[in-house]
Amino acid sequence: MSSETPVEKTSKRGQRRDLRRYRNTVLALILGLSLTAAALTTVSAIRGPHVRETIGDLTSLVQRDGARLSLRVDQPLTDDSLEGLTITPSVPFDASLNVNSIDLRFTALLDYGTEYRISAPRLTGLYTGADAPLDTTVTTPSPDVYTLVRDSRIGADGQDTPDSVLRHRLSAGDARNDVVISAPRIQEYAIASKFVAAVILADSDTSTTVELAELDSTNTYPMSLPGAGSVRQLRGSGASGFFGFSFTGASGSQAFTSTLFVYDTRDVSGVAREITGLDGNPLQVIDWRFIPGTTTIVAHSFDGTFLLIDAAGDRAPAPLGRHSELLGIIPGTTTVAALDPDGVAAIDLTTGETAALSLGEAPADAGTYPGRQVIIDPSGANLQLFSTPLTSDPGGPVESSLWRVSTGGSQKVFTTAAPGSRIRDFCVSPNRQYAAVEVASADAIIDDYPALGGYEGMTTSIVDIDSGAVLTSFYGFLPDWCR
Amino acid sequence: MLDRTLTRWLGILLSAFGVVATLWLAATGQLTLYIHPRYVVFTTVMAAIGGLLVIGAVVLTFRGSRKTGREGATAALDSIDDHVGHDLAGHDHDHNPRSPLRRRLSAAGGVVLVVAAAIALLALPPASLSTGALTAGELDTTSSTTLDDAPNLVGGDSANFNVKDWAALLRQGLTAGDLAGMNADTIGFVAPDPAGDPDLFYLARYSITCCAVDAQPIAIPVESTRWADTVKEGEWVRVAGSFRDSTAAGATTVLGATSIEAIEEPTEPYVF
Amino acid sequence: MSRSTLPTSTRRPTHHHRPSRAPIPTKRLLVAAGILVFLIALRFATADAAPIPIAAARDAITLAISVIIESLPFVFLGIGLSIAVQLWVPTRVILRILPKNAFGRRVVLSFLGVLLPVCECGNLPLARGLMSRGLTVSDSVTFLLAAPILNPVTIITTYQAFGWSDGILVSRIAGGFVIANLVGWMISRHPNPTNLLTPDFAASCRHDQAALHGRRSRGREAVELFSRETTSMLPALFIGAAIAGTIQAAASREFLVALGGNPVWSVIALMALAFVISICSNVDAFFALSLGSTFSPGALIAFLVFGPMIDIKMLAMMRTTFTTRALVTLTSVVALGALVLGLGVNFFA
Repeated sequence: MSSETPVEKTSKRGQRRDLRRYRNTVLALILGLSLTAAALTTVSAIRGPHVRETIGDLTSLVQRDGARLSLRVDQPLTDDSLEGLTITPSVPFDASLNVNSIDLRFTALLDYGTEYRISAPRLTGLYTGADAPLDTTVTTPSPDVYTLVRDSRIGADGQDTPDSVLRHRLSAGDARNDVVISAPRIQEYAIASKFVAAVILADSDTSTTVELAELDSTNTYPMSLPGAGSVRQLRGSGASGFFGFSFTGASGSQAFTSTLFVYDTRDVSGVAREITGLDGNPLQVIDWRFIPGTTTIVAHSFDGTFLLIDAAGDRAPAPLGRHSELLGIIPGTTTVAALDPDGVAAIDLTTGETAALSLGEAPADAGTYPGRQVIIDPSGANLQLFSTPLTSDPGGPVESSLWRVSTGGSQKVFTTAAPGSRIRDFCVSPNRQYAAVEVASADAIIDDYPALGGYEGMTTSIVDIDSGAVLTSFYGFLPDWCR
Repeated sequence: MLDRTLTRWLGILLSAFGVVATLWLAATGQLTLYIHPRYVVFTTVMAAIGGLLVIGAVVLTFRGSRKTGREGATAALDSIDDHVGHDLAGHDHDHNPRSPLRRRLSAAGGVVLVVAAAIALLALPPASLSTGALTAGELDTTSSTTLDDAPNLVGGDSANFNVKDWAALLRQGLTAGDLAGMNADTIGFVAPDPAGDPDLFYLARYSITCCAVDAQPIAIPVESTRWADTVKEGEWVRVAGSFRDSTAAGATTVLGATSIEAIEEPTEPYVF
Repeated sequence: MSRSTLPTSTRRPTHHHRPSRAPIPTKRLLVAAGILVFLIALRFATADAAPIPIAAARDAITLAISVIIESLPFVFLGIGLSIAVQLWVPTRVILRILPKNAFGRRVVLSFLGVLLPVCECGNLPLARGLMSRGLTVSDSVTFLLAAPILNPVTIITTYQAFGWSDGILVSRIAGGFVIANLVGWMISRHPNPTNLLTPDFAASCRHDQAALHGRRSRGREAVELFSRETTSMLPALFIGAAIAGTIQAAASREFLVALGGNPVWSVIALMALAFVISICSNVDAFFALSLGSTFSPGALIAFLVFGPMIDIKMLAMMRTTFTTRALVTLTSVVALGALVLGLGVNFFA
């Protein structure tokens, strides 16, 4: 053991010298560390506050009104630190100071894939008195968008070419399209959590099965259905991992007719469970939706009542009154839009209150025939499809255009580039920023699927609603935003 | 002689107190009053092993002392005695740990320690942390990291949500709108609003990450008109209701109580 | 080797005792059994006694008991491992696996905790054991300071609490390693490191080396070691727990939180807190997590590095082994090291 040499051999003087050497070592260490600590103390004290961490769910910024973000600063701030706080690009927000954290609440949904710069001229430390400008950025996520590509051609091997659900990244110039599930004939699909579920047609087209797959693996497995029959209106709940669908048993088998079922991907039993109505019997639905991000369901039952249903729990459904049609959930809110004979009603699920929505009038030159209308925000602003025949032939080519309509005015958002190509359907992104527009070329043939019929070779264009600019286009149709 | 006996048996005696207290708490299911449930098995097993060591120490010490009688026992245990004779008094000086005064002092300290430990561990009834008023700082969970690891609870089975789950949801920035259709039915103790609003209290529980010493209050605001007429500060209650925006100024989300009933303190008062 | 420099024994040699196979003295055993029955009966009898009416006092006791119950299993584990090392691992095995080079030896010893996952409450007996087996003081101190941090249980709990955020885990491991080796190096410069030990412990080292492989049975040795280690460690643990409980119940948390935002004072405040609450290194990350929102990462790291090395409980226990002077030097260097680490993380992270 080298450094601690046998001491008895050392002379007394040597011992004293060694002891002095040890004391010097100790002194040097303590002095060195003290000086370093003092230097660090000084530089820390004169440096102003800086952001240490951004706390908040960035996904909720593009999903929910009123989402929050906290900037944790390394020290408590004086009250005037928030003066001159700005966010670019501009977005409405409230800011409050909570000791050492700046709490931001966004009163509108943010754009996808955008860098927001949060800055303030002077943050002042409450105890140090030092100040520094705030300059930090957050980048909102770009969601994945899914489309269904149906391919009815017969391949060289005599088999039907498979249909696929493709996953795309929502940004210009990223032409990724992964196949997340494929099968010979896919009627519809839905995404929930990390799963995709697809309704697959049997050869006869009279009955369907449902296949589940994990988005990032190739494993697929069947969902246990209540029997032979057909599945329609398949929808996913988002992060909570529920699927729901309406099921009609094959004739002569079971008694289900358009009965609402839910399937919990976290439930190991793998069995879909029927939802019961107010009377305790299986609930038959005309239409239904998940409230985005929750397991709560709004269903339009056969008898015309709207019901609020907790798919995860066993609480009794709550009635929401009678309406003629379920239009959907207004993006970014928990408000249901419903059609009544006298107009459109907005049902706020947090209070249960119903209010009339005024949707505004489209200009007379928008188009000859008004089509589907989708409400995009709580003010009643909406997107509406118009079509104008190009010839007098009733089956001839049409021009389709999409208008943003509100009480404050209207503007054309999108029209098809090639004359005669048509818009099959459209829907709005969960953050109200984009419309996904399904376009079929003028000569496209209608496919032969029993439900949700489309055209051969459809594309989906992602259009910025405010500017009308086309961000990108994908193969396929039925984007998951429409589900 | 007292100091010698004491130093010889002090460690064994204190071990025995700890072992008896731990095993009794484990047997009566009350260990979680003090430690996180994940340590229960480990603590119980180690306490049992400690108990065996204590018994072994007692038996073998006696057996070793038999041959030479009382004198032999003393001699055999001298090594222990010499090592620890002055350990009790941390302030003891190095050079002469054997002075009679110091021995008496350390013996007296040892007796006090043994009696105090016996009272605290064995004679006092097990208690949970006291409930009652919490300060504004304690109630503020907007920047608490205890709730950071909360899974995405939105859409979870809200029937089993406790105060911590709800607090985590509110902290994630969820508003009444997001919580539509989810009814809360949960327990906690009553902590009055630090600002003195008579219609608002906080439903609180202590959250424990390791043992009771790191208990942190977790609370959700509950709105109930003149709540003090029905329940008292610090009382355990079951509150049912749904979330809504506060009627008072400031757009905070509160639990609007539809029913509040006083309950017994639960056997597991903390959340983990 | 340091052994040769130890003072001559003034102690009664004990190795001449013959292995005892005598019958157990029934009378004394009955007394012991009676005490045990009394303790258990006391516990059952008082289960529903009236609680202390003063909430603060009741909470202080509850908090102190929680520290004791949380730590006791780790103390037993540490003593068990220490006994095993002292009785069953021959000196030459430990010495053989260590590099001859002093620096390398200390580095290897800093990682010995990886094999012996014991928190600091259990480390001291192990360090004492190592010194009894002839390791130098500087080697043992390096082990004593590094092992509570560089051990799998601590690393896992720290990772569970903080993940990779703010570099807390990495800084804790690296900081603990560097400071332990720095102190080890410093002590190795001492010409006669045994002077840093209390005379009693220095004597016991010598005694142990002479007596351990005497003719007494392993069982009796183990029992003696158990009595000795519990008697030296448990009073300190109990007193430390009482102080921790009292401070937690009485000190204003608000005040600490106000401190927590200051990049300099937060570090000092958490080091003071770590010093006082004496929580086991195996679990202190969870405690630090509860302060994570209000305190700077540098403060948390200083807490997580300083606490396992030095705190009230450890000092009280280390007092049985090291001289006051040695402890003052040790504490100063460790505290300054942790302070520099904390301030540095706050400034550069």
